[in-house]
Amino acid sequence: MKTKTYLLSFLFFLALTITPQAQSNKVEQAIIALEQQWVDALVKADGAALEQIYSDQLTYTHSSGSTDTKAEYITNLKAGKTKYESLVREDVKVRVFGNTVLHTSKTNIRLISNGQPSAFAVKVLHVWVKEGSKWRMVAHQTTRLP
Amino acid sequence: MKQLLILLVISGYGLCGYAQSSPRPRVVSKPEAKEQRQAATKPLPTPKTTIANVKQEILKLEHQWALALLNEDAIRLETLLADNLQYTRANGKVETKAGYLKSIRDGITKYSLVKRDDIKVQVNGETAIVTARWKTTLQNKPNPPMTTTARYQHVYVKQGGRWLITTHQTTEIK
Repeated sequence: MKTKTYLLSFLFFLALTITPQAQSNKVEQAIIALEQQWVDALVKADGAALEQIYSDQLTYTHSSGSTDTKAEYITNLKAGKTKYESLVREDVKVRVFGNTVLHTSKTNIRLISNGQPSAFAVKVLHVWVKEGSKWRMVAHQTTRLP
Repeated sequence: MKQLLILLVISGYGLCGYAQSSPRPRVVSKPEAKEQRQAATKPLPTPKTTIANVKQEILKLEHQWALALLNEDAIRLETLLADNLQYTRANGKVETKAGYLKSIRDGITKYSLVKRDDIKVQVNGETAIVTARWKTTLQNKPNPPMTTTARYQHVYVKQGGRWLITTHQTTEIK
């Protein structure tokens, strides 16, 4: 009986200690899933999906240093000037600060821009903010790697 | 006794999960739910003055940051940057706080011009995002000084009551 009591108390305290970590992991998993949805939406040029992923406050900084608003970015993507073939992530880091999450990665991009295919690597910074009950991307920035 | 203990474990776990997941919607009455739905479509409920105050504070910190770069003031920079800083330069190189401060202290990275414009601040609770354009004359020894125009982004996170730069990233405008 005594052993059981100890065992159950141990389990109880274990539950207490692992939960905050589990919560943070849950946010990380949610963001990683959204990042995959973002990649899929770019490759499919799926404006409707991006509409859900991007915040209305979005600032999108391209690797050329030019910036787009949400509406500008989605309009350009739908117009098909840039066709994404693939985006492969590596070196992914997710940092959770309450209702803000920073996702950084090295991303290898293959795309066709104005008929010209190109492949390059960039450092990508994504800032996710919880708006109501949904996580949305408020900032995107890419920096070209040499 | 055994059943009592099991009950204690289950209820304890449940309570703990509830406490940890405060953003999870709680059970609400119908009028309350309606209010919450309405609130979700409105801008953030924080009073405008508070957001305006935070914006002012962030702009002041940004100004101090630019001055510290020009003055090669590593001591001031140290207080503006978070210990978990991720600093991505225009060439894609990622540095830590210690690495970046060392390059300033040792005079390897030297700014002789820092001119900022198109500064936008977005506040979201305990975080603030700054996007801006900046023209810099920067020497990274042994390279000669170069003048470039770029976009940079700062993510400030309030840590221990102070706003600190947690992420910096620069993208050159071509």
